[in-house]
Amino acid sequence: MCVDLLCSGVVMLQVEHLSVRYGENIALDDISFTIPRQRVVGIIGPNGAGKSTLIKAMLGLVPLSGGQVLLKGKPLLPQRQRVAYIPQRASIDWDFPATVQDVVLMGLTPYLKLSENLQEKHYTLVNEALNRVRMAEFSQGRIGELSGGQQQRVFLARSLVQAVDLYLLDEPLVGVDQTTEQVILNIFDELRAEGKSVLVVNHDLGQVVKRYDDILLLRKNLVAFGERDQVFNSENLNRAYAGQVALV
Amino acid sequence: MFDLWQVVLKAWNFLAEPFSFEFILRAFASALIVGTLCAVTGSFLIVRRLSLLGLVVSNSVIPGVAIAFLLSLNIFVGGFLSGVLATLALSWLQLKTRIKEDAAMGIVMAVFFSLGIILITEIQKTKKVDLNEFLYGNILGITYPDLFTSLGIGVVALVIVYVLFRQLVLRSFDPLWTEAVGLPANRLHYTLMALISLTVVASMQAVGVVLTIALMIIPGATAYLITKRFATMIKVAMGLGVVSSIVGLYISFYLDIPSGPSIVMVSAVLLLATIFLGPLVRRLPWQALYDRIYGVVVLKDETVPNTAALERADKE
Ligand SMILES: Nc1ncnc2c1ncn2[C@@H]1O[C@H](COP(=O)(O)OP(=O)(O)OP(=O)(O)O)[C@@H](O)[C@H]1O
Ligand SMILES: [Mg+2]
Repeated sequence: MCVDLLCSGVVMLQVEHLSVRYGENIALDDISFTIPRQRVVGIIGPNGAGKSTLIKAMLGLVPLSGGQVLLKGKPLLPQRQRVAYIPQRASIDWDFPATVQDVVLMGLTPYLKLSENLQEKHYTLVNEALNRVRMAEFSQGRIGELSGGQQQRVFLARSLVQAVDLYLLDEPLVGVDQTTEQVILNIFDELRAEGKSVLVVNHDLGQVVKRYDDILLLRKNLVAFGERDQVFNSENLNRAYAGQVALV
Repeated sequence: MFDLWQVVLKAWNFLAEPFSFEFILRAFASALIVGTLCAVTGSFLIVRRLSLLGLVVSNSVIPGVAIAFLLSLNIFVGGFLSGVLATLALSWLQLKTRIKEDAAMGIVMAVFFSLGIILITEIQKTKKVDLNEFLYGNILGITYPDLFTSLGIGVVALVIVYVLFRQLVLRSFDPLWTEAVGLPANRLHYTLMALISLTVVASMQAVGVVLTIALMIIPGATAYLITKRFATMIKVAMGLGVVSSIVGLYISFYLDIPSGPSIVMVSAVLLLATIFLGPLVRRLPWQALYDRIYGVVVLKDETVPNTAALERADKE
């Protein structure tokens, strides 16, 4: 069973017939799509469409009622440490005694042996990541002292030190200002250039969409998936949003 | 000169006198172990906002100890298992019903405690067991076998914390993400629960099941106020735990008051001192110290400008 794309090593993620149910309520119904390397994919859909559920299901954070998820041709679950994830709402306690640097260092935890002590090279990685998200000057600050947009950037830095190939980001652009938005969007471009794939859940139907290569429109079912130019049109959007939007 | 020598000699006698009794020596050793262990595991409870869990587990070891006593089994093992069982019951209640954590804690604690009291009253009908000693501890009555058991448990628990430190901290900080990157989030949680149970059984003879909670929470809470990193917090908490235990024992020896409560009162005094002196400590001129000792006390004190923020503003 060797599909062309898969054999040439360009396939990053395959989602096949994925379904998720919360009790009686069907949240996702038979979703299938394939994402190659070097793509930035926007996941778009109304509230309750199942965007967060899709990402959580891929990572095994909610149980699947059917289907499977493959990373580079193999089941994703056993290789979860090769995926970076930023949740929609961090469920963390902002009063936790940790500095920005501590939080970014935590991104290395899955890759360090229990006996391994932190070395200079680890701190270098962390500083590089903080530089990329323009947060280096806050590295010794308490996480509780950051603004919402700064917190987002710190979590992005924590995923950057993971140095993985697939990024799953749940609404990283909500409530951030222009500066932070530009910083984050530029990092998407950098990741693409490095050969990685990024899945971004997005609410905004405006300019930001132009930064994505592919669009995945979701509303319990897969409404449409493909290159932005072909998918992002009012017909598809109306299907996803039940006629509630007009493209401007 | 002569006077100074006299003072030194007096002070030496004061400090050394208790050690002329072997049972006091054992008490000090026990205080060191318990002070360290409680501070370490208790710090995790504090940052996870699970302080009351310490209370639940400590009350829940009672029936296990009683049953082990009735069956002539090892009471440490009995207590440990019963403490772990309580944490499992807690998770079960939350998983299977909509009862929230705080209510579940109240329920589990009350049920285990009641069961424990029933069992101990049964035991008292035939054997002479001092319930008070059990609830409030008797560090001066510690025997060598108990001391070594306590030491063994303490060493095991501290080694586990040391080895799993990074993962335990991550699990405490961000449980969802811990699971998302494929680390054993649940196993880490239950490991911490087991560590709490170990802490309680290692401490119960020294300070009693009722006061163990104080030694788990007070040094950690004090350290939390003056540190901004968890790694620093846990070290400061250990220091405070040890100091409280030792000073508390001296006071207990000279004033002839119960040792458990004496230790707890000392740690409470240290907490109060930190709350009131914390803002002063910050004004010390040493930048290095200043960087470390900077925390919640500071954040809530608005009369002192936040220098980090000012520096930032200057740069812009
Ligand atoms: N833990 C849960 N238990 C039960 N139902 C849930 C749970 N989480 C989500 N749902 C339901 O599943 C559906 C999809 O939710 P999801 O959070 O995936 O939507 P979303 O597209 O991310 O929405 P939003 O844009 O608001 O973030 C919703 O109908 C929601 O009510
Ligand atoms: Mg969502």
